[in-house]
Parts: sequence; C-alpha cells; structure tokens
Amino acid sequence: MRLVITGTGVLSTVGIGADRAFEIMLAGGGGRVAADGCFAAIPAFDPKVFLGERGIRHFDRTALLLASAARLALDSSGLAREDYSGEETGVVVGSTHGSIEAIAEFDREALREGPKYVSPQAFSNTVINAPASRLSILHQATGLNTTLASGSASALDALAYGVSMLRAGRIAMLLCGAAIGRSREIAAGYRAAGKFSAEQQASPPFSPGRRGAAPAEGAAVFVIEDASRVQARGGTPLGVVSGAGSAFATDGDRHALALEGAVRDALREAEIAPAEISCIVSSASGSMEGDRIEGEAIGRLFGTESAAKVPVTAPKSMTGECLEASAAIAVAVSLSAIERGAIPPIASLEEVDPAFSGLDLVRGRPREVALRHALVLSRDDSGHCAAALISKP
Amino acid sequence: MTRRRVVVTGLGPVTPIGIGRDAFWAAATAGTDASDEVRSFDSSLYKVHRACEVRDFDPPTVEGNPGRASTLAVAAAGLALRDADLEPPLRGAGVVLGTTGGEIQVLERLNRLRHDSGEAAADPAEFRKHPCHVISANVARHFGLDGPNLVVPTACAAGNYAVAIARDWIEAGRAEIVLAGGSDPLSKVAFTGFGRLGAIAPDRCRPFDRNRRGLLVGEGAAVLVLESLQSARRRGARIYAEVSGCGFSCDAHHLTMPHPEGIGVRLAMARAVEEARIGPEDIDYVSAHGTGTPANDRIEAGALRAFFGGRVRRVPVSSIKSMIGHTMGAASAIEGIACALAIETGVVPPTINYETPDPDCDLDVVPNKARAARVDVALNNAYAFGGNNSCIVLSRID
Repeated sequence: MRLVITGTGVLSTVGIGADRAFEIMLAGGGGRVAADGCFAAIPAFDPKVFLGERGIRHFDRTALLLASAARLALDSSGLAREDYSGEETGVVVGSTHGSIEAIAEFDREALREGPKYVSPQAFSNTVINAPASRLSILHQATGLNTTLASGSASALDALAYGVSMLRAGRIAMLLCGAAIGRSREIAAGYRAAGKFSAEQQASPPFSPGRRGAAPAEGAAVFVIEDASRVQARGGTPLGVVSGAGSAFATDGDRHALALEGAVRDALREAEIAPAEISCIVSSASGSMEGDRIEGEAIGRLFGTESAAKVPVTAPKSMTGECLEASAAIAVAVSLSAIERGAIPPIASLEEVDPAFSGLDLVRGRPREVALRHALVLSRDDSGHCAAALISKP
Repeated sequence: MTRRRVVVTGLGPVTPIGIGRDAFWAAATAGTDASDEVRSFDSSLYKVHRACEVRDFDPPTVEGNPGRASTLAVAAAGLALRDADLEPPLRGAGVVLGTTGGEIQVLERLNRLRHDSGEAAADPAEFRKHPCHVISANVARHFGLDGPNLVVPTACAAGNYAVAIARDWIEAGRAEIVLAGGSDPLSKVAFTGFGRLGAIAPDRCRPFDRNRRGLLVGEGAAVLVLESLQSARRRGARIYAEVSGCGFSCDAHHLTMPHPEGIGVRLAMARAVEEARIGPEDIDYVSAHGTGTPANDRIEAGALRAFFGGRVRRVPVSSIKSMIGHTMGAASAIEGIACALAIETGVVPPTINYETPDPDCDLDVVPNKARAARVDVALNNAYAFGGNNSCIVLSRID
C-alpha cells in the first residue's frame, strides 16, 4: 500500500498556509516574531476565517489552530465533505500538552471562585484529547480518534501510527497532525527548567554558544490516503510517506544512538539506503545539547565523508520551537521542498559551531536541488526520538 | 504472512482495593468497596466528598522525583515484570501507557502554591514534570526498557488504546515485549469538573442500578506485559490470554456526552470481534465501561442489547468501577487485568452496590457477588470524553 499526502495545512509565526510560509522561509524570513508572554503567537490569526462562527465557541486556542490547519489541509486535498466524513476516516493527533492553558486556567478558576462556580464547558478542554476530538466532531469523522504524546516527537509518532492504521485497513482516510497554542505555563516553566533560552530570541541552530530555543505557536495537518484511491478520484499526491521509525533513549549518552535507530527503522520500512536521502529536515532548535545530538546522529548515519553531501536545514530557526507541532511543520517543509526543488536556509545562521563543520548546513540562501527523499528528524529531551521519510510522488 | 500472535504474560495492578495481582483479585472477587472521604485535597467547598484513592501506597524511589502518575506507573510496571518472571533491563522492550490528566497533580500543586502564597512560592521549573509523555519515559528509564515508547492521552479509554498499540508493535515486529497500561493519580481537576457536571455519586458507585447517581473519581495504575506468543513459549512463561481483537471508533458527537444511541460504542464492539474472528455469541464475559452515570450505563446497556440480541441476559456483564471508582486512564488497563484473571481463575467479579434493577439496563450485572464461570473470551469496553471508544477482546489460548 502506497500512502500519499494529498492535503497540507500549515499555520506558523512565519506565515499561514503551506505555500506562503514556505515562500517566506526560502527568502530567509521568519524567526523574528515578537514574543507575547515569551511565547511567540501567530500574528493576526482569526479562526473565523477558517472555521466560520458555528460550533467553535468552546474551542481553546490549540484546538482552533488544529482545526484551522485541518481546514486548510482538507481544502488543498480537493476532497468534498462526503469524502471525509464517516466511519472510514480517522483523526490522529500528536499532543503532549493538550490545551494546557485551558487545563491550568480551569484549576485556577476553581481556586479563585470556588469549585461550584467553574464553567462546565471549560472542563471539556481539560482532557488532553480534546483538540483531536473536536476535530472529529467538526468533520463527523467516526472511524477512529487517537491522541499520542512523545513531546516534540509527537507529530511523527502520530504520523507513523496513523499510517499503520491505514495499512491495517482500520481506516481509509487519515487526518493527521499537531498544534500548539501559546502558553505562559509552558514558556515560564521550560525557561526556568533551562529547556528554552532565557532571552527573547532563540539562538540559531548549530551556532556556537547557542543558548536555547524559543517557544512559538504552530500547527500542521495532513490528509493521507492510499495512492490508488487518490488516482481513482483524480487527486494530486504531494508526497509519499515511505517510512517512519521511532526509538527511545534511556539515558542522555544514548540519545544520538536512539535517533539514528529511529532513522534506520524508517529507512528499512522505505527500503532505501542512506545515500538516497536528498535532504535532512533537522529538529535542531538552538539548544546546546539537542543540536549536538542531531549532529552526532547525522554523522553516525552517513559517516564523516557522506554526511557532507546531504544538505541539512532546520525549520525551527524560522518557526521557533513549536513543541508537539514542530515535526508536523517539518513534514510540511519537506513536502514544499520536494515540490519546489528548493531547501530553505537555516535562518540567521552566520557562524557555525566547529562541531558541525562536517555537515552541509544550508545557509544564506535556498539550495536549489531536485529532491527524491527527505528525512525528517524529531527528538525530545525526554529521550523520545522519531524519524520519517517523505518521498517525491 | 500470518499475524504474530500477542499474549498477556504479566499483570501489575495498583488499585484502590489492592496492589499486586493477588491482593487486587482477592478484593475484587470479594466485592470490596474502596469509596471513602477524599484525602488527597480538602473537599469542604464541594457538594460531594467521596473518591477512591490508593491508600497504603509506598511510592518507589524514581530518579528525578517525578509526580504520582509516574510513581504509580513504575510500581505497576515492577509488579507486572515480576509477575511475568522478567528481569529488567530488557533490551528492545517497549512501554506504552494511557492517561487522562497525566501528571495533573504537579500542575495543581503549582497553582495551589501560587494561589495561597503568591507567584514566588512556586518553582516554575517543576512544570517540566507535568507534560504527560514523561510517564512512559520514567518507566522506561527506571527499568532500562529501550524499545518504542509512547503515552496515549485518550482520556478514559486510554488503557485499551495502549494495549492495542502494544499489540500492533509486537505484530509488526517492532518489539517482542511491551509493557502496556495506564496511570492517573487522583485529579482535583477531574473531581471539580465531574462535580460541576453533577456526575459524581454522593455516596457509592452503583453501575446499572436504577438509583445510580454517578461515578466516583478514582486513581491507580496498571501494567500488562504483552509478548509475542513465540517469545512467551520460548521462555516457558505463564500465558493469561491472547489479545485477539481491538476495535475503535469515534462518536464525533459531543465532547462530554456520549452519543444517545451508542452508535460509536456498537461500532467499536463490532470491529473488535470482527478482528478477533469471532461473533458476539462467543463472548463469555463483558467488563463494562459502567461508570455509574445515568447516561453512560443506559447507553452502554442499549448497545450491548443491540450487540448480543436475545442472548444479552445470558452474558455476565460487570463493572469493577463499582468497587474501585473511575480510575480514568488506568481504568481499562485495570479492567483488562480483571478480564485476564477471569479467564485464568474462572471467576467473574461482581458489580457491587446493586440493589434496584433498571429496566433500561436489563443485563446480568453479576450483582454483588462474584460468580464461578468458565470464561474463554472476554470483551473489555472503554469509552472516553471526546467519544474515543475502544474495545478489546482477550481470549484463552489453547
């Protein structure tokens, strides 16, 4: 079974819509959005533009972003509502924090006002699967609804799981993605814990003396179907999900090994060799340790000599750290790169940490090159690692 | 290619009525009621005051001093590994755990400190212990299990989701052994929310009883060791049951209310038996979702009626939530253990606190007393907020 992506919806601080965001990325833009409460928000995001006014009253910001990205994805797939409603459609979402602001605020309101006065509607947002479930309700997708959590690797784990549900015949149509809305809890908590940069701006990935990522909103959703079905309805495949893998590092020393293992699983599933990879979409974020792990894993995969031949980009240099949504946005970047034959540069990366001198980091301007297979990497400080191979249709 | 068969070889329950396989099953078959005044927080401002907590729990020491969801899960995993006669570390073994609120107590504690003593009273860095994916990571690190690792936050159906994912991983050859289950500490957020919805019983939990008045919020964790049949046979492991079918669906109806006709619930049951290549007539026992809320039990009973047809009164259907309360993401994992033990011991646990039959729930609920019955095939039902439905079939293995 050949599983193809037929629709993409992206919302990020760089831009709204996959094509528009990618244009800006190619021009080296992004990465300079003013932070709101130290968590960069998508400028001028108006959910009504995507979702209308009905049925979204109780959606929190994360659910609104997810549903808006899904709307864009469904529109770009060319499917009609009757094609994606019903028992054959599954919704799979990567989410570790759920609607975190709504969860925290529900509890705060109970403390402030007393438990008898909290809003019962607000309670529904406190389950982590609320955004995914709202998506199913919106589109009457009754086949399956699953939320998966592995930190910043969540979106690729969701992709792998969703694709396995298609292969198993449990569903015939998949809406899969992830979203994160701005959150003071996350910004303050992770900054205090050293996960994020103490400054407003993130350091460029792979730069020397880098001091961490900066959180930002983002969402990306994909429509995925069997290629024969797409052909039958005259749809256009944007890319093939040709392999996925994941692994877990039980300690920090094994993290690069685990990331390499996740990639090897994906390569095995896709039946392609490392030398056939045309581009790496790295999850490097400007974190000292995280970027080191990515560099080491890439080096291990290709060996010192070949590593220098594979261009590496890092979308987080432009979008910021979108947590569970980041890998979904990276998949969207890989699809656009395949379509356009161009890899966006790592924004603001002027000086490279000598530790990465063996890598071909795309800098300054886009790299124009025909892409066959793009490797998307994701990892979380928890030890969760996941990889996916997205191929030209 | 024939499918790799997946079996259950270890059970680790940490529940309000007992910790460990034998203590749990002795209490469950004795019809023990764990409900009591809530002690995890001050309930004086609430209309209701009862919950099912895990008392006498001595949390294991876990690196990084994580929250209670993690320590409950580590304890359950340790019990399950011992029961399966497996000695960690286990290279390539996976962990997949369901949860509703994750480490919700971490967040509640930060909020409480800030509310009582001001912003500076809380260490914001503690937030790193809250995101739910730390639970499976803590279990994997504690025992040295470096296979696939995930948390499935699909609310109150999450335990079944985890078992199904573990089965998929083993079938696909991604792991030989996977620890699957769920964990949720007592959640003040859930207590507040269900209380506000009027869904919490004032005294006891009475599933399927005409006078049922709601659920009781519970806490707990459970881990099942899932293993390929080949691996289990090779090492001579005791096999409780085979995971023979998993069925899913989504109501796509309302976030907190079930579909009035139980359409999603029926679809999930039908898909589970179809995958197990059996029919409703082969099922000997149903572990009901059976929360004790008026709507859930009525709708579930209706769905079971449609599913079993004329045979419905002859199939024992019980809800152990009558004893342990609703342990959220752990619930269907604990209930999965109950199904495995029903197959193993030939006893089905009762629905306790059952006094007045409800014509809308005309089932054999195994009222108040456990019953000896041969169980070859058990169906474990779990439904969740968001209409996330999951059903699992466990079967005796020849």
